[in-house]
Amino acid sequence: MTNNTDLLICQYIDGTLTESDALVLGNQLERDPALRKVLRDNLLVHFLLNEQYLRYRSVQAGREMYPLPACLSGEGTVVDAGQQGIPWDELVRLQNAERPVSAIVAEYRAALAARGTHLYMVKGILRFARKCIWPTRRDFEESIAPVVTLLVAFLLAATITIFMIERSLRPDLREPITAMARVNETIDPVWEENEAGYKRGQIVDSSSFRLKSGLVQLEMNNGTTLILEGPAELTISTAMNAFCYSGKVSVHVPKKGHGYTINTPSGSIVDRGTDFFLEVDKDQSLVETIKGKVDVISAANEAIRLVAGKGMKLFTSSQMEMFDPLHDSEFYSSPRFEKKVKEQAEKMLETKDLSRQKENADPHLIVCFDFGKNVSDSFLNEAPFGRSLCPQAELRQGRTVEGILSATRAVAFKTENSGVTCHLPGEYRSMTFVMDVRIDYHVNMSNTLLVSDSFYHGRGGIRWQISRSGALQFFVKENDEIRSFVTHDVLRNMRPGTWITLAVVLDADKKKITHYLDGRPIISVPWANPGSIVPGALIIGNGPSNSPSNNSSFFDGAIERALIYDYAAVLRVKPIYTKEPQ
Amino acid sequence: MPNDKKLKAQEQASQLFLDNYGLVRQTAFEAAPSLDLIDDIVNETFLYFIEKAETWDYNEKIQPLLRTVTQNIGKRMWREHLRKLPEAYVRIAESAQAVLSESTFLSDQVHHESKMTALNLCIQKLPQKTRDVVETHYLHQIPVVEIARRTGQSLSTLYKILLSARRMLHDCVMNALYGEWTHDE
Repeated sequence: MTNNTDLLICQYIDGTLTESDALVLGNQLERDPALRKVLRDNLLVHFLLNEQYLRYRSVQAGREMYPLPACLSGEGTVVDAGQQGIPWDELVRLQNAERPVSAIVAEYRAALAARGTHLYMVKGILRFARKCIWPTRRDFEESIAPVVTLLVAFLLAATITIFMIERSLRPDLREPITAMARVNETIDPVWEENEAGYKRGQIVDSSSFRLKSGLVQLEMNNGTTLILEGPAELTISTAMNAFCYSGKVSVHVPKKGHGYTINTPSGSIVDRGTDFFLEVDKDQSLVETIKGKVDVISAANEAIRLVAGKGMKLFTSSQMEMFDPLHDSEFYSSPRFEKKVKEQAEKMLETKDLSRQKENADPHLIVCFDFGKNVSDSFLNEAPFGRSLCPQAELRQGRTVEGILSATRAVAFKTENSGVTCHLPGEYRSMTFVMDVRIDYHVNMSNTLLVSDSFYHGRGGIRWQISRSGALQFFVKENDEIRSFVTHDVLRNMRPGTWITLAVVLDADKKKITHYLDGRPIISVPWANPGSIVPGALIIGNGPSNSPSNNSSFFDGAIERALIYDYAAVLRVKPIYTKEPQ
Repeated sequence: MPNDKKLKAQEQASQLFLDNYGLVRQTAFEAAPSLDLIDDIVNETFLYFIEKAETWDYNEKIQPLLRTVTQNIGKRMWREHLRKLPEAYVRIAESAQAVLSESTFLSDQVHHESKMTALNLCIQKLPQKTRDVVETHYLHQIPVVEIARRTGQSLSTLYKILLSARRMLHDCVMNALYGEWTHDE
């Protein structure tokens, strides 16, 4: 909440603070540490904003991106032909430590003007600077290209950011949703227009599913499973209740789900320990009991118990009609659905094998850990050409979980000391990191995907993580400086349980670092003066925490695959499954 | 005309200075938190650095040296600035300099470019009306009083908007840059 003293700070920064208010503010600042913090934060941002827009104005005016020192920025003022600049040494000699340079320059200019000589004094300095930095005209011309490239990259990044960011500013802890159900499987789903769609593995709360075609299996917290066959529309209201507006649903309710209810426009079906089928359209609902019993309640609240092998039609006019279902039902029973899932998985695994063959043929693939295949404490590096560099990795305290497909596995790191360790020697100019990951929640300040020991000790270290607000962050340590390359909160609203492919490409030749999500570039950030990357000892899925207040920085999710290339492998950042289960 | 050895040293010093230009400007503001003084401090630092170009050891890291030179020049200019200030403002100015020197943001290892990138991303996240005020004031350099006159909004409303904008940007930039790192909280 803004109070009057905060406004005084604003006026101070603006230069409009009156003397009487200044006295008040001065007193308050001495007494109130919180107010000093407000002053500090405002000053820092005020400085940054000024720098940012100063550069922007310089570029707009056709000058260098950085506003150079006045001694070097003579380009900003008018140059008259025939003027001579002050010699460089002369200016240094004239510099009087008691007075700022701008005052000396102004005085010198005035003195020379009085002698009848109009000197553009900085021209000589500029000549000197040009000689230092751009010895030949060609060098000067060639140096324009990087400036233009940087400007284009800056404008492109700004444009992408503007189009992609639609969220609120507050980068809070993302609160876990009330998980009611999980999307177990999907088979060729096609969602209605304007429907975001759901992916296998996603955790959902009260949600609507509008499926144009295909199959989706949902599992409630209580173990109840629904197989939805499109075209269908169903809403999960609570963990024990759903509303089916249209379409076919196969329902299996275990013991702990007894009482599970599906409402329709023409009545309700309450489970009493059963498997049943339901088909809904605008005028009627058909119920077929496969096992056990259900209670069928009409629109007029009339209830009838149906036993196994019996069917009931419910009409919106409140009428009910019994019927004997056909033996050869058109519904997807669990075994029939599972058969379909298995067929789909086999196709996708074939695709994965083909993709892997192509990957393995790339001599620049130096690390390939497929946690999905290898369920053990040590993982062999499956990159044929990189095996000599980094033969294997060790797993610490991770656990294996279901992978992208039900037939594959992944590793989850949910504890302080978990992670996969390996050692990658050598120095690299460009690199590419790719991981198939499952996002659960961003409970930690930083959910570390990968970090190298040289990030803390030595040089050339790297750290790749997802922030609490869902931003992708990549850090590089160069010459004791940490440079960050970050995206906006691109994963902020991603449903927990979603499998995605994340990649980051470090391109030293093009001097940029690009983040990718599912094969699509999110943002390219300029990487000026790229230094060598020295991975060394790597930890995947966890990393040391620098924060005394938050000791956890494990990746809250699971990783199925981790790859590292020693070049800018832009074509390798795509998901491995070309046909995804969505 | 400088001899070859001196010229080479000055070339090297110029290039290093330009490579660390962001660091110099940050340090200048940290030592003397007034935007009006930054350019003068930076100019003097540059001249001093070039003047002594032949004496520096270019095998060592140059950033600590640049920081020290900039801080010394900045502090001297700040003292002169304080001497000229009306008494009523001196305490605030001293508090400003003290809080900035306690903060590690301007002197930490994160590259200046990264801070600019983070800021740019965070500016895009501001609500449109807030962003408009920020851009009008900082990009187009329109004083707050003039913005108030043109838009019909009161001064206190505009100050509240700027205050809120700076607070949002501060939190966003810190989160973007430091993630898990705590700062001087």
